[in-house]
This record gives sequence, structure tokens and C-alpha cells, in this order.
Amino acid sequence: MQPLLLTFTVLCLFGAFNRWLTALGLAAGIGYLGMRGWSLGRLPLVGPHDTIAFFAVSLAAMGLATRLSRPLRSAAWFNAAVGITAGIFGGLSLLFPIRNMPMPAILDTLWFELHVVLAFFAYALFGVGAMVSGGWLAYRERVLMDIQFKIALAGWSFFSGSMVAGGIWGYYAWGTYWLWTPKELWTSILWLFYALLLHLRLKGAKWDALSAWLGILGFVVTLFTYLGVSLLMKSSHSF
Amino acid sequence: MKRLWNLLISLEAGLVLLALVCIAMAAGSFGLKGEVAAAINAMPLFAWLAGFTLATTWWLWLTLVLLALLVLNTLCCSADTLIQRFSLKGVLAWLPPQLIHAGFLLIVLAHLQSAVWGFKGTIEIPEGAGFQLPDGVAVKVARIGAIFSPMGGDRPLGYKALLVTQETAGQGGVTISPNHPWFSNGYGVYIKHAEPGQPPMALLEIHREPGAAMALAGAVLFTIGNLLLLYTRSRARELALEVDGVL
Repeated sequence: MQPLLLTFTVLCLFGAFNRWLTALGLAAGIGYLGMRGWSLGRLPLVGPHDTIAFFAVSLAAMGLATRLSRPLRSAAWFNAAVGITAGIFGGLSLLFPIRNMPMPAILDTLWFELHVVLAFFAYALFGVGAMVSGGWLAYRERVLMDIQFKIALAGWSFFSGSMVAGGIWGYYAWGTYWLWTPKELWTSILWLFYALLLHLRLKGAKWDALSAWLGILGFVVTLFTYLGVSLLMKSSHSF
Repeated sequence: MKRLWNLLISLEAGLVLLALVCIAMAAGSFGLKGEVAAAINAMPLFAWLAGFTLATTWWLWLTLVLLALLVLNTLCCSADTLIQRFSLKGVLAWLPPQLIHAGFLLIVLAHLQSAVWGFKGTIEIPEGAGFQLPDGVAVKVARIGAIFSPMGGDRPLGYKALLVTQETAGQGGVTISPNHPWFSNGYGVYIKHAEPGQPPMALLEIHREPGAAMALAGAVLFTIGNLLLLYTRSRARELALEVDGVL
């Protein structure tokens, strides 16, 4: 199975100049996740290896989907940014051991799976939004900020859905829809941060530069919420 | 008066408050460890706030004050939008953000309700013994067991317990396990851990979240508003609304 993940990583990293190679890499990544899920009998969403691989494949998928928008169809820089970022995370997932443990009963519910899947789609969109923000800072094309807004809105919607699913899961699993842990606090920070970014759009084009920088900072907050809290802070709610 | 209203509905105030809430929560997240972290989830929030010193809780007090101001800002903004823009013709332009605001407000209210009137308790109990819920319902823990993977393995994936009450005795009791608690008059009984032995022991938690229904209502409103917003912000819909003079 692992050669598929390696193929995904190599094609994303070194085929980043060509969207068809990235798409081929994405197919390999989806194939890897599918086979891993098949062998486990569940979605591969537990532990650093599985979640980082899922995140990497989500990044490639969301990047390619965003590439369908007209202004980005011929933007080689965007394809390169998506491919390289997805490839880096694909490579990172290979550094963590693969654990074939059975799913703990507390995680064995559709609400948990929905919670995690939606969160990773959101994280991936926030990453793609940061790349578009970087593109605006480099090229100053107004249409890029329109795309950035729509990506942020879609990502925020997935993230909100993830929080709702997580709340329902938490109510049945832990007895509360909310726990005061560093992970939950940073989840709220991320949600409020993107709420701020979306509201900033109402200020008009004069604020595009700040929006673009916040779009990039948002991905830093995303990575801290996902990886930083799990690796650096003690939280019962990690990986 | 006009100046105060303008401040209350101002987008700038909302943006600053959002940023400050993020900063206050981020500062607090680094102090949530050890005894403090264990205690905050073991009792309703206001009991925790009352039980610890300001040196520990300052960030949460600050977050609550900022959130209260953000709620006020959200309420005033929504009221102003409804006064200025209410019309059935342009309903798709103004309604989705207001549904999201309403959902957000309900979720904040739900948290407040649970923070004040919630209940959290823990009980370590042997098989065959009984306990009483805060509302007086007597519960007997008839059996305690472990859940193992069908593929085998020594470590249990979770634990289960058979609870018998006067209400459930007719059906032979009710089994609780992870993700499958038992509810009685708003109190939920959850199994957290069990130990084999003579007799086996179970660690149970009893929770009451009075804000749960309101939080769910807020989440539903929020999701509807969010989906409508995504729909109206799609390229085709934006063009149609521009033609109608709504956007």
C-alpha cells in the first residue's frame, strides 16, 4: 500500500508544474486511503500517519477543484503551490509509523468520522486560500481576492459542520458538547479567525492587503490547531 | 445616542472584538494544564470560575466579557440590517447572515445555560450496587463488562454496564457503552472506565447539559444559514441577484 502514498508524494512534489501529474498523484493518494480504509474496515482517521495523509490528499483534491475556476486555470504558480504543499504533507505522513489498531469504541460512530472528515476538508481549503492570498500579494489581481473569499467561506462552512458534528459526538461520548481543552480553544480561535476574515470582506477592496495577509496567517493558525496543539500541548483531544 | 448606536452596529467593533476573543482564548490555552485543566471539565463553568483565583481564571473572565460585547454587537447589527433591508424581494440577500447570527447567539446562550445550571458528577461503583441520580431516580448497576474487538486482542476497546431502574426493569434494564449513554430527566449516565475484579468496578459520570437542546437548535439555524449563504454566493446566483438589484 505504501508505494501508492509514495507515488502521491513524488507526483505532487515533482509534477507540481503539470496539473495532470498532480491529478494522477491525487488518484494514487485516494487509492492509498481507500485501500488503507478497506484493510482497517473504517476510514483511516486516527493517529498522525493517517490524519496527515488524509490532510495531504484533501489539499491536493481541494487545490485541483479550485483550479477549475477560470482565473486559475492557466496559473502555473497555483498548481505548483498546491502540488508542493500536498507533497510535503504526504512526505511528512511517511515519517510517522503506521498503526493498525482497532478503533476504540468511543470513536466508533459516524459523528466522529463526519467531524474529522469535514475538519480536514476545511483545513485543506484554508491552505488553498493561503496560496491564493499569496498569489494576490504577488500579482495584485482583484479576482484572486474574490476566489479567496469563496474558498474561506467554503472552508468555514465545512469547519462549522465539523464543529456541529463534533458537538453531537461529544454529547453522546463525553456527556458534553464542549470540553475546555487546548484543542477546543484553538478550534474556536480558528473558527472566530475565519469569521473575522469573512467579515473583513465587507470593508471593501482597500482592505485586500490585510485580507491577504490574514488568509496566510489563517493557515498558520490552522496548522497550529491541527499539529501544534497535538504535538506541543497536552490535550485529551488530539489526533 | 446616535453615536452609541453607530458604535454598537459598527463592523470595526465586531472585527476588533473577534480579534480580542481569539487573543484571550489563545493566552488561556497555554495555562490549561494539570489540576486546572482537570477541574475545568469536572464541574459547570461558573463553579470553576468561582473556585479558582483570578490569576488562573482571568483569561476566561476576559473572554466572557468580550463575548458579551460581541453578542451585543451581533444583536445590534442584525437588528439594524432587518430595519434597513427587510423586504421579501431581497430575502436571499439578507436572510442567510441573519440566520448564522441567530445560530451563533443561540449557541452562546446554550453555553451560558449549561455553565450556570449544568451538573457534572463522578461515581465509582461495584457491580450489584446502586446509586441515586440528583432527581431522585434510583439506579442499580446490575452488570459490568468490557467490549473487545471481533478480531481479538487483550485490550478492551471500551466498557459497558447494565443499568436497572424502576422504569427500565420491565425490559431487563438498559446497557450503556461508549457513545450510548442512558438519559433520565435530562441527566445522562456515561461509562468511562471499568476494572475487572471481585466484584468488577465501573467509573460512571453523570452529566446534565441544560443548554444541549438550544445548542442543537442554534446549530441547525446556523447550518441552514450557512448553506443558503453558500448558495447565494455561487457565481450564478450572485449574477442573478445583481440583475435584480438586490446585491
